[in-house]
Amino acid sequence: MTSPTTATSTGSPLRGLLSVESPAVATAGVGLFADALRGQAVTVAEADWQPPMPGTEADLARVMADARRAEANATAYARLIASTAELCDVKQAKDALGLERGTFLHAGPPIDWERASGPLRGAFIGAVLFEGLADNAEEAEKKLAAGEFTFEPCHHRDAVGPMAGVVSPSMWMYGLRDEVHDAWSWCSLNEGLGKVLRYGAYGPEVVDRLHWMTDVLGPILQQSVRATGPFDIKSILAQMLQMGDEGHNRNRAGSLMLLRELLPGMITADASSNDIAEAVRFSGANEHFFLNLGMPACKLATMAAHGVPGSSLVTTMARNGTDFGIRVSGTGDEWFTGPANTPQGLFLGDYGPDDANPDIGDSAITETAGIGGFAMAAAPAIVKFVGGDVPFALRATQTMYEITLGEHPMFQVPILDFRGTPTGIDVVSVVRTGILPQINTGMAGRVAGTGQVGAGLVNPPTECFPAALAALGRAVPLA
Amino acid sequence: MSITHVDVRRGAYHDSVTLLQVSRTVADVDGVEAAQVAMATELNVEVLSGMGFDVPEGAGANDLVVAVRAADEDGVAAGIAAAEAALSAKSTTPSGGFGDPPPPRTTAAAVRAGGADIALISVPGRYAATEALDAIGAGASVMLFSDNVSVEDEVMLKDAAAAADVLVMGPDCGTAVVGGVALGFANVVGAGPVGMVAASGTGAQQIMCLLDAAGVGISHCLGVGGRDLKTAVGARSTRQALAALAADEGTTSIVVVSKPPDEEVLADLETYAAGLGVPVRWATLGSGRPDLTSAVEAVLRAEGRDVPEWPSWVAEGDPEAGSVAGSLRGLFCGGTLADDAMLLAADALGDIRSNIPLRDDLALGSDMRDDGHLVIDFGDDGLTQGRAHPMIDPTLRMERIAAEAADPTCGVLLLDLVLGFGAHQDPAGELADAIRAAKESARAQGRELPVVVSVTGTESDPQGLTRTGETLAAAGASVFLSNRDATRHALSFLGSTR
Amino acid sequence: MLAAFPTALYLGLPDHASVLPVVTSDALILPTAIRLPTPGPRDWGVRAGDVVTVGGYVVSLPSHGIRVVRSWRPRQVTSGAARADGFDWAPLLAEVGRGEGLTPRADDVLCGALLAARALGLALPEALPLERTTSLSASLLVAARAGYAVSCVVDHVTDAVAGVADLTPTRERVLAIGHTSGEALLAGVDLALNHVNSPLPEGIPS
Repeated sequence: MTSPTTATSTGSPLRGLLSVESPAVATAGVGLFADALRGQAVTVAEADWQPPMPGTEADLARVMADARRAEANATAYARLIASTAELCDVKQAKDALGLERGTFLHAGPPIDWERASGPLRGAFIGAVLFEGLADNAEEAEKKLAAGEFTFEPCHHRDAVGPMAGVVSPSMWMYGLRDEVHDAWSWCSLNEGLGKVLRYGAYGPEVVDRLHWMTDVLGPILQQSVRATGPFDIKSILAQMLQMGDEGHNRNRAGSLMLLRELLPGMITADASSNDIAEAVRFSGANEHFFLNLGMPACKLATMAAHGVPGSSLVTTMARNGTDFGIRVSGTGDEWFTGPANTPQGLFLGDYGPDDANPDIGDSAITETAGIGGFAMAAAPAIVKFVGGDVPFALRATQTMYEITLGEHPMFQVPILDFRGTPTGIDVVSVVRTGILPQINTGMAGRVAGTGQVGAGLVNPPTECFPAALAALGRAVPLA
Repeated sequence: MSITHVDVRRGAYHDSVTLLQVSRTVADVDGVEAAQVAMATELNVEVLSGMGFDVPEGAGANDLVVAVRAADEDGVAAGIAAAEAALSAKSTTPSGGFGDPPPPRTTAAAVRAGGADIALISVPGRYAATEALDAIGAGASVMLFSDNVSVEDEVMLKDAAAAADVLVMGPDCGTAVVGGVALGFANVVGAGPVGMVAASGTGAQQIMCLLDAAGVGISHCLGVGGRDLKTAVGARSTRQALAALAADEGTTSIVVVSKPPDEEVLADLETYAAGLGVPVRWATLGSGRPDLTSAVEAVLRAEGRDVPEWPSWVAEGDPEAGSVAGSLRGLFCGGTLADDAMLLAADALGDIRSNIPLRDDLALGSDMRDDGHLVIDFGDDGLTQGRAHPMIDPTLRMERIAAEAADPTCGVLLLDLVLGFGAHQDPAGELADAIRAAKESARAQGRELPVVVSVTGTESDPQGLTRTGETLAAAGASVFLSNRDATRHALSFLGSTR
Repeated sequence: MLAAFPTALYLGLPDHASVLPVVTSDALILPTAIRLPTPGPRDWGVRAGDVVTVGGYVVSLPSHGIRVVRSWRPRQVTSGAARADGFDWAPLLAEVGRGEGLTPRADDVLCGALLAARALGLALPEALPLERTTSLSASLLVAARAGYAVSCVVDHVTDAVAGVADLTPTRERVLAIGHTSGEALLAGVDLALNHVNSPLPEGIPS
């Protein structure tokens, strides 16, 4: 977004090109020319140019020549970074989203039971049991397979859900508000680690915990937020990046800061001291407690950037365990999907690569908004959790600048001299460079009911981006 | 019984010049009979199958093919190892220290990283418009070396550049000098008062070198692309370049050099130039207009300078003037030098067939053969798809020189050789060998084949004008700095056909 | 070797007013300098007081050589049409050499005035008392009288003489030269400009 014009005298043509004392040259292509320039002691910046993704030449030329694009991207980007995110309320999904009984939200692009992966099926089963719509897992599965229930992506209701992301009407949701763009986004409460619904577990302890969250935790959090909120979540995001978190797979500092905000209101809530103690213990025991607030904060930012005609900024990246889907500011509600990749990383206990399900969850909204894998350099300790090494973490963030529109003014990386995180993925840049967004993620077990098996690194499938580019090309007005 | 190895590496891109060098390295390995390392473009796949290598289905332009044939397994292994070593040595990705940023991947990223004033883009043509637009968006002027860019894209780029107050030099722009920095192919000439606008690369080089020989330096040479003076483009870049040079303190007169322009564009341009307040002189080729050398001589006279005797090295022992029966065969790397020669020769010989013909009906067929007079521009788009420019990869022309030597209808060979930055390090050595071989093979058939070379270069060029002239003369060629003088000398051998 | 900094070397040549700076691409690029294509800091392997050999397009440092391969084109202030009213150089010339460091403040003021005077078409002093100041400063005074200066100073003088309304951007870039030099150069430019812009000759009441 920067304009690197060198200072020149007023009115000199071609930006003063002919009065430059010693022109500096950028090269792309034949290395011989860069060598010839170096031989003349010219300052040369050589692009490590690679051909774009195959078959995209015509679409690229068309989209890049779209007169609206530069301004559209500037507008979308400005909205993305201008959005605010305050935790303003906690409500049940039926009240917050008008979610009807028998309808279940899920992560990622739309999907049916037939194609749903193990963890997503497991989460659906657990949610059906939790809502009392079946007596046992077999019955729940039969009804789900018979098409008795309605599935809908969280994203279609301005909501986001980590991993399976299954939301049912009785579940409590955090409500975050973007005051600049007058918008709300919602996300379920974090259930903790281990065998949990979002990783596809649906055993009795999972359902029991969901009931406790509905009966005890939700009301206490609601009282806390209503009594002492709103709480500025974007500000916590900015601070946690300077405390070793990246906001997707490492949320330790963020969780503590959030707890600090919530505690006074929780402790004084109208509930038994035992319930309050358990709610506080539960919240404090979970180092991913904050993720379910970071995600809707990111969703608010990308929602604000969505719907700018001509903009090639990616506003959604989400996975349902089978498909990976993206949506783009300038192409409306259309999803561009491809088969989800399986993350590579580190495994818990005896689990191994064969146990991992393909990529799942709406949590890639963090990368879409410029944190998570894009802020990996801010969280070098994360390599102990997702794999890789510290130079990789530094390189990951620095590589993402190639495919993003700007550097986030609030989200900064101390070790990169407080450079803003790479923010606003540009479909055009992804297609041109072949560099795919870097996502840090948890890994769900392939078999329904397993839960989390590890954490790692993953990229979107390549095909999402040329497809989105082609749609942008079709949307270019005829000259 | 030899062993053939072909493997395809997905998404491993290297530029064609690098791969040419890698292929040569591998082919030189002991035991290797044939080798080709190339991107699997349609043309390269054809070349590979012509060499007897089967490229697997599904390999595309972004995939690298390593093909080696050797006498035995050891030879194949040595060939592959040599390819690996050469490729990794050529890799532009620096290893980098801890925390160093990765190299920029797009032109705009490189422009920003280097605070660049100019982006020199030489990616394959179908990707060129994208990179150029990117550079313009980042506020840099563009030298677009890439060819095979459509006229529509050229106009689009030039309009975008004008709106951003930057210049697009190109497409297919081989030569520019900005503030003393040579971009692409350019000769080492002194600083001076003459500004140049060039719709022709080798034409600009010829003029720069002639001016240099006359002791006149240049301020800047701004390329505009070979089609800029055609109606479809309407001199968009030329006008910008003229205005910028007119405003430049170090420029007191301007020379515009071009392949034959469209008449109405030239007329409009002359009117435009007349209002700039700086004398603008024209070296725009065309029937009835001065050749490049004569145009330079006119510039010198207008500047009150003496016209020197242009350097030359004339071979001894060539046939007498007018005594040769065959036809003129001009094999050029420089398109404008070819045009210049053709225009001069047409006055003496009549019709000349060419791949860049003066009239449409004189076009050569796809086999590029004819028994009569012909001039071939090996740098033309049609002959550079999927391969490097002949100034970098002279293979095609070398093959043709050998073929002409064996062809009894070939009376005299007229060649060009361009020195300077970007050109081959020792082009004269290779060409001298080819000339010797050609003369010998003609002699074996009982013909004496005169060879004339038009050398565009300066003494300060890395290859050196005199050194080059002497090397070629030692091989039996006559050598001229002036393309006009070279052409006239070649024509002098032929009996009048009119 | 007059001075060695991480981004610049100043080599004193036998003639008092001849100094050859060698600068990295991110340094302040003096119009008389050999400029390197890469940024500093750089380990030159020399200290002030060392003797190095210069000649044949090569600066021979003890650890490595620097080869000159191309000439660059320092920015030059365009001469303005000659004006009749004279500028009194005597007070400025009397101050030459006064101030701290390699380029004393009074010399910087004079440089600024010389550059602006050239652009305004004012007559320049016939001789400069170069022997009174440091070699480096003397070499820059010679360059300034010929219209050569650091690029941002040329920009500022050009814009100021052209009557550009908002000079803040160019002033700020000159100030960024640092120490007292930027401020002193601006003061010198203003002296010449004020001389031309004062509506009435001195001594006549308005």
